[in-house]
Amino acid sequence: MKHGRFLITAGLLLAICGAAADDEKLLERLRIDHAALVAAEQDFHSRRQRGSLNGREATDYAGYVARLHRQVAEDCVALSAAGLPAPSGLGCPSQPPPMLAPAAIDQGGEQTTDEQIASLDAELLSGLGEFDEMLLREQDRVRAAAPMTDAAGGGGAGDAGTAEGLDGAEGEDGEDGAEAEGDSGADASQGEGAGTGAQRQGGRRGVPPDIPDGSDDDVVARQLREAAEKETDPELKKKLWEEYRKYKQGTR
Amino acid sequence: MTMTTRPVYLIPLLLLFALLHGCSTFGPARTVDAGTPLNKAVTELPDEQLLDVWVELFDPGELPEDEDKAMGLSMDIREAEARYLPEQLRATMETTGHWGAVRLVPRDTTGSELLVRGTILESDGEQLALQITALDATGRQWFRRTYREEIEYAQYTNRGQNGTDVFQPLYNTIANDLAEFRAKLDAAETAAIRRVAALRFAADLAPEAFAGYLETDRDKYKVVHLPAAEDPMYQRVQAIRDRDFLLIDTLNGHFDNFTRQMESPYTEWRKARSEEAAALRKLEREAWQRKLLGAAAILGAIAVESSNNGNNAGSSVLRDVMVVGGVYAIKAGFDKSSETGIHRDAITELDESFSSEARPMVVEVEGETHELTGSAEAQYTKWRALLKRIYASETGLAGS
Repeated sequence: MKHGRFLITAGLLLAICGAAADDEKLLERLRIDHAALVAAEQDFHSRRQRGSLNGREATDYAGYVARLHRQVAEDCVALSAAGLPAPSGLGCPSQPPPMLAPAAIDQGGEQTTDEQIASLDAELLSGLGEFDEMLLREQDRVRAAAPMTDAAGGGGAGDAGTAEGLDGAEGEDGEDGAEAEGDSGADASQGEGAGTGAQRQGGRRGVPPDIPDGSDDDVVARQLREAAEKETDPELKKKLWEEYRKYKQGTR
Repeated sequence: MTMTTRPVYLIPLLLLFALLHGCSTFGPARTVDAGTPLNKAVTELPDEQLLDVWVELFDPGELPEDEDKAMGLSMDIREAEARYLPEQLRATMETTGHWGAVRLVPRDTTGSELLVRGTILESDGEQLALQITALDATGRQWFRRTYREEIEYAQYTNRGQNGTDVFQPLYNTIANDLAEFRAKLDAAETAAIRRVAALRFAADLAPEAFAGYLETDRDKYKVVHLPAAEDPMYQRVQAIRDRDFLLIDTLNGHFDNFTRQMESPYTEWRKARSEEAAALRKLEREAWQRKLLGAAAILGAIAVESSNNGNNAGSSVLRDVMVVGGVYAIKAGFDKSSETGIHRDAITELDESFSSEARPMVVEVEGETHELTGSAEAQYTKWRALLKRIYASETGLAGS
C-alpha cells in the first residue's frame, strides 16, 4: 500500500515536472524566436534603410522576417493553448489571439475597456499574422517564378557599365528652382555599380559537419551563416546554426 | 561668252553639293564623345538622413503621331517598357548610396518619402525620351524634366556587351539630378519629409487619430505636432507600415522576375530594330541622293541648252549625257526606294514578334500585382476599421 502511494506520488511528480519542462520549452522557444525576430527586423530595417539590399535580397529577407513573425505568433498560440500567461515584451497579446479561438462572440458588453482593447489588439495581431502568411506564400511564388538564368538571384540591374553621352535634359523645375537643363556634356564615364554579392571567406572552422558549403545560400541564409560563424558563445552559436538549418529546410 | 555660262553651270552643281552635304547629317545617329558618370555618395549618410525612394511604374505615354516614327510600335511594347524602364532607373539609384531603400511601386501608390514618376515620350530602340517628375512627401515638386537620348546601332555592340542598358547614361543623368536636389536639403528638411511620410501613412489608416497631426494646404503637408514614441496607436500603425514595406519588397520580387525575363528579348528587339532602322535610313538616303543627282543633272542639261542655244556640238553632247545620266540616276533612286520596303516589313515583323512575346509577360506581372495589392487593400480596409474601434475604445469617443 505504502509502495503504491509512493509510486502514484512519484508518477504525479514526474508528470508535473514533465509538464513544467514542456512549459519551459515553450517559453524558451518563444524567447529564441522572438529574439531572432527582433534581431532580423533590426538588421532588415537597417540594411533596407541604408539601401544595401537589392530588390531580390530584400524580397528574400522580407519573407524571412514574415516567417519569423508567423513563428512568434504560433509560439504565442502554443503558450496560450498550454494555459500559460503570455510573458510581456515577447510580442504576444495579453489575450489569446483568435487563431485558436475565434472571437466571434460579442463580449463587448461584459468586457472592461482594457479587455476590449486587448481583444481588438489580438484581432489586429491575428490580421498581421495572416498578412505575414500571405506574404510568405507570395514569396514562394516569386521564388518559383524566378527565371533560371540567374541562380544568384538579382543584383544584376544597375551593375557596371560604360556610359556614354546623351543629349541632355530640359524641363521645368519645382519651386526650389533647380536648373532646368540637365548637364549633357559630361566626361567619359563608368555607370558602375558595386555588385552586391558578398564574398564568403574562410574555411569551415566551427561549422557543424551537416551544414552544407553554402554555395547556394541566399542573402538571409548567408547572414545567418555569418552570424553563426562569428558567434563565440557556444550555446548561441548552436541556436544560430539551428536557425540556419530551419531556414534552409524552409527554402527547399 | 563662255565666261557668262560658267555661273549657270555652277548653280545646279552648287545646289547638288549643298543637298548632298545636308544628307551627311540626316538621321538620328549622333557622334557621342563622352558619357555621364553616375554620381555616387562619397561618404556614408547616417540612417536618419536617408530618404526612401519609390519609383512608380511609368506611364506608357502615346505612340508617335508620325506614321514613319510609329511604324511597328505598339502599346503592348510600351506597356512592357513602362515596367522595364523604371526598374533600370531604380537599380541605378540603388547603387549610388544617396538613398535609403529604392523600390518600384504600382502607379498611385501612396506613402513614399520621395516619389519618382515617369512618362515615356519616345522609345524605339534608337531614341529614348522620358518625362520625369520627383515629388517628396511634403508635396514639394523637386523637378519635372524631359530626358532624351539618341544612340547609334553600333552602341548596342559597344555598350551593351557587358550587360549594361544602352541608355544607362540617361538613367545616370536622372539619378544625378535627383541626388543633386537631395544634396540641397538640410537635415531638418529631410527629417520633415520622413515625418510627413510616416504621418500621412498613419492618417490614411487611422484618420481619427492622426489627421490632426498634419496641416494640409493645396497638396502641401506640414507636421503640426508629433505623436509620442510610445503612443500605442502609433505603434500599431508602425507595425502595419512595416508590413506595407514587406509587401512592397515582395512586389519587387515580381517586378524583378519580369525584368529578368524581359531583359534578353527586349535588348534583342531594340538591337535588331535599330539595325533595320539604320539600314532603312541608309537606303532612303541613297535613294534621295540619286534622285537629287538625277534632277540636278537634268537641270544642268537645261542650263547648257539655254546658254548655248544648242549651237555648240560639245555642249550638245554634254547636254545629252547629262539628260541620260540624270534620268538613269532618278530611276536608280526609285529602285532604291522600293528596296526600303524590305526593311519596313522587317521592322513591322520584329515589333509584332516582340509584342506577342511581351504581352503575356505584362499580363502575368500585372495579374500578380493586382492580386497582391488587392489582397493587401482588403486587409488594410479591415485594419482601418479595427484601428477606428480601438481608437474609440481608448478615447471613449463613438466608434463604428
